[in-house]
Amino acid sequence: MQREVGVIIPVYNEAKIIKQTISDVLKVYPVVICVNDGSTDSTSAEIRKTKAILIEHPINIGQGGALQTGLEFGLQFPKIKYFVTFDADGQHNIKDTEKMIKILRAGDADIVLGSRFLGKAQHISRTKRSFLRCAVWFTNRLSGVRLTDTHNGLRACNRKVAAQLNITMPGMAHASEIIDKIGYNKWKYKEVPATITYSDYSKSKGQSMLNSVNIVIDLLMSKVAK
Amino acid sequence: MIIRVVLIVATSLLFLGYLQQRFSTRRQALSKLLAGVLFILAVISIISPDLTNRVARHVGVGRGADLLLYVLTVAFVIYALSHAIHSRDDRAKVVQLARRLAILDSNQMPHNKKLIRSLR
Repeated sequence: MQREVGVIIPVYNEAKIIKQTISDVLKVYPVVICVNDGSTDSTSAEIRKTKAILIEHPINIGQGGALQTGLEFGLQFPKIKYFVTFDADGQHNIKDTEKMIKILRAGDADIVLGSRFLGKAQHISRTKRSFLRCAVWFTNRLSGVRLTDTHNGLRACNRKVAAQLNITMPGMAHASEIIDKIGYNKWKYKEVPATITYSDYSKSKGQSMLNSVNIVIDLLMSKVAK
Repeated sequence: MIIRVVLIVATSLLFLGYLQQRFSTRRQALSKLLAGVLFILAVISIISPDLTNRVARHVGVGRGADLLLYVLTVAFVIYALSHAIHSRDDRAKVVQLARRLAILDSNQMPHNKKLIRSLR
C-alpha cells in the first residue's frame, strides 16, 4: 500500500541534513524521489548513500521547478497513485502524511495541504507568525480558496492533480501558484494539522521575509500577463 | 564638420549591420522597414540639426537635443521591457530542457536502476 505513495523532496544545498530527512521518510514510504536542484555542496553524494531515487538538475531552477520535475518523473509510473511533497530541511513530520493519504484514498479530496496553524508550530517567532498570516490573507484573496496556511511545503495529491499542476513560477512563488490552481481547476481540497519544527538549522535555511516581496510581485505579474 | 561625417558613417554601418540578420519572417521585414525609416530620419537630423529644433518647438520641447533625449529614454525603456519578456520566455525553455535532461539522465543512473525497476 505504501508503494503507491511517491514522496518528492526538492533539495538545494542540504548536505548536512538530507540523509537524515530521507531516512525518516523511508521508514514510512519506500518510494522517495529526491530532486537535487543544482546543489553546489555534497548533497548529491549524500543522497546516493540512501535508497532514494536521485534526479539531478543540471542547473538550479528553483523549488517550484524541482517539485514539477519530481511530479513528472513520478507520473511515468502508474503504480504511484499519490504524491507527497516534503521539505528537505527536516521541518516536517512524516507521520502527518498518514492522515493526508487516508483522505486521498477515501476520495474526499484531490489535494491535501498541511497547516501549521491547525497543528502545533514549535518555536515559531512572532514576526514569522504575523508574516505568514499576511501571506495567507493575500493568497486567499487572490485565489478564492480558503486556507489557514498557504506556504507549507507539506502537501499530498492524487495523480489527477499531479498531471494538471504544471508549476511554472520561478523561485518560491510556486506555493501561491499551487493554491491559485486549486481555485482555478476547482479541485477538492482539505487542510490537516501539520507540525512544523523550527530547528536552528531550518531557521537558518528558511526564506528571508524580504523574499515575500519577490513572491508578491511574481504573482501579480502572472495575473497581469495571463 | 567632421562630426557629421563620423555620425553618418556610423549610422550607415549600424543600419547595414542590422540588415545582415538572417531571419526572414514578416516581423523581421517590418522591423527592417522601420529601421530604414529611422536611418533616413537620423541622417536628416545629422545634416540639419535645425530641423529637429523646429520639430521640438512644435511639440513643446525647448531644444532638438532635449527631444532626442526624451525619445531615446522612451525607446530604451521599451527595449528593456521587451528584452525582459524575451529572457523570461527563454528561461522557461531552459527550465523545460533541464527537466527533460534530468529525467532522462535519472532513468540511466546506476544508483537509480534497481529503485526504478521496483516501480515498473
